[in-house]
Amino acid sequence: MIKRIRIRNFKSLRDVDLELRKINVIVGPNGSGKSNLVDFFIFLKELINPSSFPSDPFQTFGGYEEAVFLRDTSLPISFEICGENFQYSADISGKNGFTINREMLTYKDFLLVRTLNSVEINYVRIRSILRASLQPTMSIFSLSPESTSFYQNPMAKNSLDKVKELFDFMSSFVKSFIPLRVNPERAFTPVHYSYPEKLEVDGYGLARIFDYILARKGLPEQISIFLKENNLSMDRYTSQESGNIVLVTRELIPDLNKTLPLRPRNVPAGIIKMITILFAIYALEPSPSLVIIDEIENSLHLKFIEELASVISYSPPQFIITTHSPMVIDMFNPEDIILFYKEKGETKAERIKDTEKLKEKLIEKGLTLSEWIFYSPNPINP
Amino acid sequence: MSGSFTRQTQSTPKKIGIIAEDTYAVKFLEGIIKRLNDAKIIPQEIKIIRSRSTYGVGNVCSAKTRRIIDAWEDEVDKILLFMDADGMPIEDKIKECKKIIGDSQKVKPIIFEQEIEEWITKSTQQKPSEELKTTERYEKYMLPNYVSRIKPDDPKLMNLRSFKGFLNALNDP
Repeated sequence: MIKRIRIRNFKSLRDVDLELRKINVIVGPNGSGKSNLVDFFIFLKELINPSSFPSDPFQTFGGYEEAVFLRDTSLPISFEICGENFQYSADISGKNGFTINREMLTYKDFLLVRTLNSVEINYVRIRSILRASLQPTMSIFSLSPESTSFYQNPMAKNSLDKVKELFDFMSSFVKSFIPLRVNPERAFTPVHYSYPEKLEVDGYGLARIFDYILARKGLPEQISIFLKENNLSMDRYTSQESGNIVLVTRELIPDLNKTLPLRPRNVPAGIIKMITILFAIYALEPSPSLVIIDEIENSLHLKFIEELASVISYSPPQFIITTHSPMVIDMFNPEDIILFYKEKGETKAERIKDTEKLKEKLIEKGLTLSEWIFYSPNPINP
Repeated sequence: MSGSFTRQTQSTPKKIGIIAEDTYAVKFLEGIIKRLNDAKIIPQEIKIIRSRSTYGVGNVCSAKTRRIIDAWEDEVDKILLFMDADGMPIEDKIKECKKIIGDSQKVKPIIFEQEIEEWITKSTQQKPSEELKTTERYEKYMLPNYVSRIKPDDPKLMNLRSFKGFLNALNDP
């Protein structure tokens, strides 16, 4: 679980420092920077696990200029992420082309320091050091045991298992963040069978993951339950002509004892969104440790929002969700809320102070949490 | 025990609303009421008009719950409001509830000494969900699957304050 994240100079996030809990509900006006936080995780994912070569995590945003605070390309973008047993930070510049200036990763007894294209891996206990070199656009997460070499302590050979543990951590870390901004039409788009088993931010790739999961181990029970409760069944076929995997949904009409095949465009958007989110949580390998969902309420009825609140509460990953919806806010506790607002062009983020006092106040005044947040002139200080 | 609850005559169903902390609990409770109906263990058939989850213990006693109660009150005979005490004194929880439900005769708070899983383990000594996790690799989403394990005339279950309160609320005219 990520305990803290500090982001500097990414879009409107000039200097945002967040203590994170299991559930984090980001609330704020349009343009306050909520989606920029989601964009940060899209950027981070692309930085540490590039989808193309040469790597350019700023391409999605239209270049470094579009991603840096106030379009000031002289500024570096930097961040620090602290987890339970790791800490990762990076400093990136883009004025003369995208370059990773510095990265640092601590994991258990390991310390990895990268300065421009040189990397040192220190293993504290036996003082062995591995060295490697990297291209300026590639993150330390692109390293593999084969790309490093022992150079100093002959005892280092004994630490091979430990080194493997480090690289296992690094390879799962790059897949541990799932940012989602689901576009139902894209999520149910046919996907070529050669496409990797990965879920894009808009949900594209779902058909490939469905095919992979179904062939390997069957649908996770949580997804089967959801489909059954909504009188749906899902299958897929691979088009012989195009090689595309096509999702097939069927609706059971119990009163008429009929089954109705639904074309992707006839499947309700809320159903597709729920299925996509449930796949992200329960079907991906490795399981994500953090799921980030932008504007979670879009396309969803209150019933599904209630379902999602339960899923978010009890499923293993940590969650960051953004919302404008009073219905969503009222599903969560004041402790879960992070309020975003803008001051002089930069995003400020604060949690509600003294949440116990607020809970008493809400009962006393007969107000819901969302009413307090939206109507109070000073919602942070109850 | 079950004999005293055996339904004698078919009458107009009692209309109830359920408010619980999460959707898994709501589905579990709906399943149990269906079992009670099917087994004719309670004198009057129970019809669930509405069920809502509020998410989290922090939200059960909230103005949102009051809004739900206000929206249902004219349509239902009884509203069952389920809350976990998590080992805290039950009287304190009832007092907390009263701030929201006031003196409404229709709303019946049902407080679990620990949490809803105590109806499965029939024990309130330790956190029942933790016990289930250890013994049965339980996860919260599985809760509705446990309906079949609930035997309403099980003396151990009948001894639980929360289950007695639940049956009393359903039997209450």
